[in-house]
Amino acid sequence: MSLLNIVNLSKKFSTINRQVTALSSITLAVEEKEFFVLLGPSGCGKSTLLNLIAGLEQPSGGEISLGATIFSSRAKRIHIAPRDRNIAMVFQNYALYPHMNVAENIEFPLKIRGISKDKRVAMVLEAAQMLELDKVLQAKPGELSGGQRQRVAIARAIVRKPSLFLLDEPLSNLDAKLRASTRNNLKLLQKRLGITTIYVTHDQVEAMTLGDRIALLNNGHIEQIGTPQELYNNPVNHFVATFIGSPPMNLFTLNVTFNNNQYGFIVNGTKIELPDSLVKQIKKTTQTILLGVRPENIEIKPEPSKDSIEVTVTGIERLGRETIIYAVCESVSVSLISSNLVPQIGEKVTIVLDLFKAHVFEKPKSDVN
Amino acid sequence: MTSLKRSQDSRQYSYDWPWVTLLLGPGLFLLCLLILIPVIGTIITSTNRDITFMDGKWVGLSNYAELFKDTAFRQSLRFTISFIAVSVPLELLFGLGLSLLMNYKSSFRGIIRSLVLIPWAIPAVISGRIWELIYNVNYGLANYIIEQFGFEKINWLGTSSGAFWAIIIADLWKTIPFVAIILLAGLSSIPETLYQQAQIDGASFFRRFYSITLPLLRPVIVVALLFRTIDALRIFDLVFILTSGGPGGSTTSLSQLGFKYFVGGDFGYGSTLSVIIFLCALVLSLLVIKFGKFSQEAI
Repeated sequence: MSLLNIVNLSKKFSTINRQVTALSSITLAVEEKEFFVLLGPSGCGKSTLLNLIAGLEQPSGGEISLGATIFSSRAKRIHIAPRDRNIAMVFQNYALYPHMNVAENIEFPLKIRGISKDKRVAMVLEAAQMLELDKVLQAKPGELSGGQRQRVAIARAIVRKPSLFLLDEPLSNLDAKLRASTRNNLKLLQKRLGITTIYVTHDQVEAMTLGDRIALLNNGHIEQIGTPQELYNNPVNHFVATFIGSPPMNLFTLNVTFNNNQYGFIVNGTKIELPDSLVKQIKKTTQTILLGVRPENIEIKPEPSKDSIEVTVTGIERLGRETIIYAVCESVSVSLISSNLVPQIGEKVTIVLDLFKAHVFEKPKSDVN
Repeated sequence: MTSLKRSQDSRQYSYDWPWVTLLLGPGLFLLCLLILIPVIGTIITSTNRDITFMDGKWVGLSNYAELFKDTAFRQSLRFTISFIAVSVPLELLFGLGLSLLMNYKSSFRGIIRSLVLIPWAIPAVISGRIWELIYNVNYGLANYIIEQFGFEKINWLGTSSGAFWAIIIADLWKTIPFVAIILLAGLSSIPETLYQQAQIDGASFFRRFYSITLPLLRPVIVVALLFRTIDALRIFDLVFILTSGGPGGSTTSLSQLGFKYFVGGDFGYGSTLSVIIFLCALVLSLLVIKFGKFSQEAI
């Protein structure tokens, strides 16, 4: 039974001379206790979507409902104000009240609801201990570190056990190391408290590690919704394929050949056959396809073979555990991951593409990178 | 977002005294010339009998003693204090309301902000004359409007209570925009996300105003309070134009009284009054600074 239901949601902003469509036909459902991630590049509309769920903005069309309660519906002329939705939100800059100390910040939502002083103190203490803030309860936000401020924002959000927990890129302002540990703690906290969470980020690593399911947005519409593994292994289009995974999937524009009842393509004079699993994805009339191969599915072979391609190395990135190698062949760039063989820049190496793990996509009407 | 960490920073600077003298010197010199010397000079004059057609002689503090016994002084002190007590709170109240209006995001925001400054920009003497015409008993706009509503004409400048309120209203018209502009600066520095967060936390409009706007505006309100109190203490222009201190001296402000003495040639007495006004302003400033909690909270 899903908790949050969004049906055909759209949002348009009008200025004096033009209209901007921030979101169009957004339909998704979030399950109870799920950690749901809204992922996408800057400007894709994910923060707008979060604001609509929070009630800070009103939709231009469509409906948002939590359980049996409709939050917003233009058609039915319903809009419940943020304060009546029993939701909690953490903003990117934490929005801590600077004139109140940590304890007062955390108890603010409780105070507004008229909860008695004794109960408030107990609840604040419980939340503070969960986030290791019990030692700094008297400090003001200005005296805290970035990580501490973020924990105060989270404590303030969870203290009243809301139905929905919304987070807008909360880790962006933290340094890399703190981000990793906070990510972990956030996931543990969410599992422990069991609050349905919607998390906005542009970082696909965050999305993959935190999300039970991810909705990938682009230009105001949803590209794909699925578990991290589904998005990684079965991307529905080239956008999803190249957005998820780092370094991004290689995309090759290829002309399909059909000889001897065998589909294939030609690179550098070599003819490479396409396996049946890929052929199934190609429409009969297609001449040009986008072949997607992830860097980790390309191998450097010590010697040429039937399906190997010769490329020239143009760049090397050593990451310790593995090395990313950039190469070029017929002015097409390739990136691959190697854990053992590390060639020199300028060297010619032989690579083989694991086509059984490759994907085929439609070539889009506009040029793809 | 920057944070002000309260660290004890005790670095020792090595001063280049020749440079300090050269760069600060002219400024300090002018300050002395235009402020320090006149102030000290006035204090000295207040201890003398300095009347145009009589010989000057040192009288110590007897000018002060006489002043406190003077009924004219007492009356003007009463008026000035009443004026401050009424105008300053009203200015702050309406100024705050106006600044909230000016801060509200609407298409008219720019126009409102420009229009609002006009009363303050018009020279006091000119607006004073305009108000004089408005307050005219038989032909003035004020009484015309009052009569349209079915009320009796008010003798604005002819009765002591009428004159008091006439000055108050004319002063409010001029100074509310000034207060609003000062408060607006403070309002704009409150981040929008704080209000959004408060909305989500459950705060109503009034709660947001009370818990967020007011506390964060406090340093700015204190500044506005200080400015307006000292300005109200020295009110002169409106009094001079509208009532010349009448009727019967009931609307004579302290400055107006001092002016009368100086015009009459009694510089010693006038200086005494000036010194008293100066001391009042000084004490007020110190009180406000001490108890006003000027510290700007950091985020």
